[in-house]
Amino acid sequence: MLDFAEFERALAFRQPKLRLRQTGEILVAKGEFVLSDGASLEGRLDAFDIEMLVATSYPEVEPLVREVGGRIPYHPDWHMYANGRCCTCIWEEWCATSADTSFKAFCEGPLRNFFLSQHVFEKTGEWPFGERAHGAAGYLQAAANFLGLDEDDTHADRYLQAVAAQSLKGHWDCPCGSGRRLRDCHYAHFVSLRERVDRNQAIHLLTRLLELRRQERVNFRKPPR
Amino acid sequence: MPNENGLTHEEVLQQLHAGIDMPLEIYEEIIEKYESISNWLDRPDSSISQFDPMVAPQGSVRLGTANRPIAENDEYDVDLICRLNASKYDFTQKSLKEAVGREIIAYASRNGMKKQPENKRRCWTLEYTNARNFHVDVLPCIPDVESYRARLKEAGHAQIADNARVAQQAVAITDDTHERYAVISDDWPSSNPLGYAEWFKEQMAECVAAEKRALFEATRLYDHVEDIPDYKVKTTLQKAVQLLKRHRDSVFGDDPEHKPISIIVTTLAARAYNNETTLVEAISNILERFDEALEEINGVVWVVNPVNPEENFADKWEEIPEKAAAFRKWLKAARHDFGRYLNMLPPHEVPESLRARLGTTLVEKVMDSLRDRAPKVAAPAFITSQNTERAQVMVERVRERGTGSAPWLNLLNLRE
Ligand SMILES: [Zn+2]
Repeated sequence: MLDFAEFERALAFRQPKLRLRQTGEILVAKGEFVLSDGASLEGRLDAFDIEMLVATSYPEVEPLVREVGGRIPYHPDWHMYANGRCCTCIWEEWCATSADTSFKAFCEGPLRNFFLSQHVFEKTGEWPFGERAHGAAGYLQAAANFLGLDEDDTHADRYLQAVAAQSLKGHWDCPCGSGRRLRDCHYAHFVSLRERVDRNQAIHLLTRLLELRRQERVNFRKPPR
Repeated sequence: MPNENGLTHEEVLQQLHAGIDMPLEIYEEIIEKYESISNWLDRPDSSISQFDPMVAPQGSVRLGTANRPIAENDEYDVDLICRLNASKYDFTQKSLKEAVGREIIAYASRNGMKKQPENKRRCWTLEYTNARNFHVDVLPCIPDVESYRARLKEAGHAQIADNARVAQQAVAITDDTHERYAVISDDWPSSNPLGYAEWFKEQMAECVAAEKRALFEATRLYDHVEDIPDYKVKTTLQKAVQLLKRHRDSVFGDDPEHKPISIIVTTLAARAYNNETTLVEAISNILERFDEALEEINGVVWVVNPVNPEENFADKWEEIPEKAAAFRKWLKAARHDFGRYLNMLPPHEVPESLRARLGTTLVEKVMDSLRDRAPKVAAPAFITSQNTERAQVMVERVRERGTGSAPWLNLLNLRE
């Protein structure tokens, strides 16, 4: 849960150009988002006009962030939707992998990172913290990151399944794709992986990943001839 | 190079603090004053000398958070306690107040003070109208250690009760509106201003020790570090409290009725303080977390007295909601004014709002004295050439903290 006082603690000092208010269950911040590194000799680095809506049920629901100044192209290549909404991060990945998921941590993490990334991308054409592929493919990268795998490991979904499962079965095909049985291959690896990562998070990520894939299939299948 | 002469926000804040700080010679004048009162109460034919009276500063002078008055001719407020080594069987509240009062009145006339000391609800007030004006409140009291300990223990606060440095300073005070004011009774109002000062000192103990060591090594005025009196050093917490108090005084300059009281500002600042060593970091952290120590107990907002958790410093807020609103209004303004300067502007650009709050004359004087330190190149020229490098540094810092995050795109939302 997030109340207005905590909302203000996260933003009122660091973001003096944002106007903060509460409307029912929604906390609203509107104005200039300042990109700064604290008391810097040169002052702020950059600023973006934004509007942010945050539910008091945070972090259950992802904050909705829009760039309203027209500074960033509203185009998928900039991780922007057509209505100016910013896709700051994969919410479930951030929640599953951050030590601190407070609203302040979001503001200093994904929110700031997003605009810092836009600033750098505008100048250099590079995303300083990388970028996720669009859609379910990006989600698969997030799952790999969550499991500590190489981000382009396409077996991440099978790894996720092995972690999410109630128990490991030795007769399964090994998720690594070697064609061998799990007991003859990466069994020990998965035992320790299951100790390292939170199974509930794994279930949550897996569910979302499968859901995304299913919906993308439904929405983007080729139209019938 | 930007700012090669190195003017920093830290330097500006330090200078601004120096401009509002109560000067050392005033501290010394106050010490003279209370020692003089103490000597008078202790003289052989004093009517209370057998009670071994002790006079000491309390409040902002003791905490080291006292500011100069805003206007040059305004008076300095000084709070003293006058503790007699007596018990609740030697005096009623009334007879203690009067016994101390007799001697205070005699002291005032002996020293040719123009105004007769005034009998207030809990204290005696002395007005010094010499070269400098002082308004001195003297609080008569007696030790109250045992019942303080017992009360705290009963309420489940054994840790405070067992903190000797705090508990040993507990006193019983007088209050002429108390129902047992004029009769012998166990039931006196209690207070612990010196215990509070000990608590405050504990919150910045690291910094006090470091400052004393630095002064000791720099001056050779003292044989031992322990000989350095507290008022000779100033920590970042004390400085931050002073700047915030000045900001508050100026926000409520025209309408001080609901101004948040100093003990609330001081307590919340000390609670938020986390041993930051620079004033910039201390003010930033304190302002961000300022209201974190507000507690809500059964729908009532509490600022708990750290040396007596049964006492709410904000006890008036429930009855007078304007006070709570005034607190919120001020905190918002302080976050905005300091936040704008520290997060958005270069050191030599103190924004108008903060100038007005800390005193335009003072800020101009400070900026004048730092003029040769401000960058000579017009800002925009170097900023563009430096920006890529700056952004890179900011990126590196995020990577070091391991809090990087990559943007994504949910294809399904494209149809929104
Ligand atoms: Zn394998």
